[in-house]
Amino acid sequence: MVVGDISGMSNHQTSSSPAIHLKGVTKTYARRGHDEDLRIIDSLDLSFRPGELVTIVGPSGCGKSTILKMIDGLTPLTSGSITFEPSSPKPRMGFVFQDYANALAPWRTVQKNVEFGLEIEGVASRTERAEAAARYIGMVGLEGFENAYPRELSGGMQQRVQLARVLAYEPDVLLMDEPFGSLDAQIRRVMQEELRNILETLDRTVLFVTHDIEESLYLGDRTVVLDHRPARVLTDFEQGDRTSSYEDFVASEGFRARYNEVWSLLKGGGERG
Amino acid sequence: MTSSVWIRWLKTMIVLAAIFGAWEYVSRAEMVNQFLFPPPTQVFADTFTAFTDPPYRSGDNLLFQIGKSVYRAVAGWIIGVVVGVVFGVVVEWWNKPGSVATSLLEFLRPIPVILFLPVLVLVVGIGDLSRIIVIAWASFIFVAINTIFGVRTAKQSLLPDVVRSFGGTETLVLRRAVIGLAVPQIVAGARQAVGVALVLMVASELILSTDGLGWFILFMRRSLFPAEMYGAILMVGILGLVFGALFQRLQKVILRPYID
Repeated sequence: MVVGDISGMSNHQTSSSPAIHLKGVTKTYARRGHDEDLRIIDSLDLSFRPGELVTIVGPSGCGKSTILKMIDGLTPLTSGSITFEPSSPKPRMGFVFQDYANALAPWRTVQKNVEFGLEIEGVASRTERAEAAARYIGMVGLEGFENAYPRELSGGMQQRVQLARVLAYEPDVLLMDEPFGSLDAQIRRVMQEELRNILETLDRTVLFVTHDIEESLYLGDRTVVLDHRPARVLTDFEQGDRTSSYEDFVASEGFRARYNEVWSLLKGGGERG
Repeated sequence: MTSSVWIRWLKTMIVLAAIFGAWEYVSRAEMVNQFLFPPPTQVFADTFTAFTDPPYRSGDNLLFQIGKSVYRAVAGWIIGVVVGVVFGVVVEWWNKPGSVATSLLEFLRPIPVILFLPVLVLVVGIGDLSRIIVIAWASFIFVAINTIFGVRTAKQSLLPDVVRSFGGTETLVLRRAVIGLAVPQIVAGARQAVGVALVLMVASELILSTDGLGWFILFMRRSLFPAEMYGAILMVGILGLVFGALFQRLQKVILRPYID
């Protein structure tokens, strides 16, 4: 038992989040009936430090989800480069998709869905997978639902399953693509607070994409604001002490100043676009 | 819940009783030729006798003929489903856009495969194999088409990207995501195949045959035993109900996670 645990630990390096560098990243799509390709992202330079919690905010369709998919290798770059430092071992990515209903395997129970990433990775030990799954099912508050199927759960609970699945995989980098975008406002608030508490204990690089300015300011240690197509960095800032509660934070002078700053930037970009 | 099931059951029985009652009356009152349209009581009685003691002098009883037919239908269906799933997955997974497989299947689907039965009998003989091949072929086409569309939809869904994001190979994308997502569509194909297997079971036994329920129906018609003929036709319907109910059971188990 003890031996098994030790070998299990060696599979998952503890907090070895890499730095991520985007250099001249460009993404274009061919358009039917147009000679010119659609430029989603145009020579974007961005760097993320290890362990940073960065929110990326921008209008819908600005290519912020594409940035996450390119970092994860799910979408190829048209030109430019994305490098990791250190580059080996290859950093392990955990991707949380907005469309939770289609991101889960409908024929698997909650327990088996949470084990999914470990199974794909090749963690052969059943008990090891089950233990990891149980731990993170507890962390996202889904105890008692281990044997339920996704369709039997609410949207918020399905997204919790996806979160637990990615956490159980213990990725070096966590990529979250508008994870709360499809949830109703109340559930979103609860999950934002819970996510912050979870992420604070993780000490890993987290890139969180959203179009909700409030969400981006509340969750991010650093916030990157992107322009409408093609995506360019409008502003990029770090926030100070983040110990206040959601209510205090939203009521604070600093938050309102930041909010207005970001909003005026996005509004300007939107009008130009 | 249970009371509504009972009410449905009761309604069915009332409708059946009304139909058989009317048939009995029409026949007994000589409103039709009683020899050609014997009353259901006689149909039931003669058919029941034929189960163990058929009206012909030598040969196997009705129970044996039903067993023969069921064996052919089940064997053909199973072969068709297995080959159809394997073929559908292989073709669509390694399919480049614009492959001809679906067009070919859509072209073959409306061609009554039973037309080839006489040739088939010449090649493989008059026994079970020719009927099983016909049933398997028709089942295969329905299952293959549905499997192809199931896999196609699954390939374009989000779950394959989830597997890739966790570092999974394309083989794992197929095994852990695509096949699971295609299951409901595959089951739909297998259900269509149940219906077609039953029809072909009887139809294939009408041509160049020496046994089976279809042969029995034909033989009773030719030998002027209308009661046994009607009884055997009713048996086909009952087999349909039984197969339908059995498949419903199977489907409920397989699709439990997918639908309410």
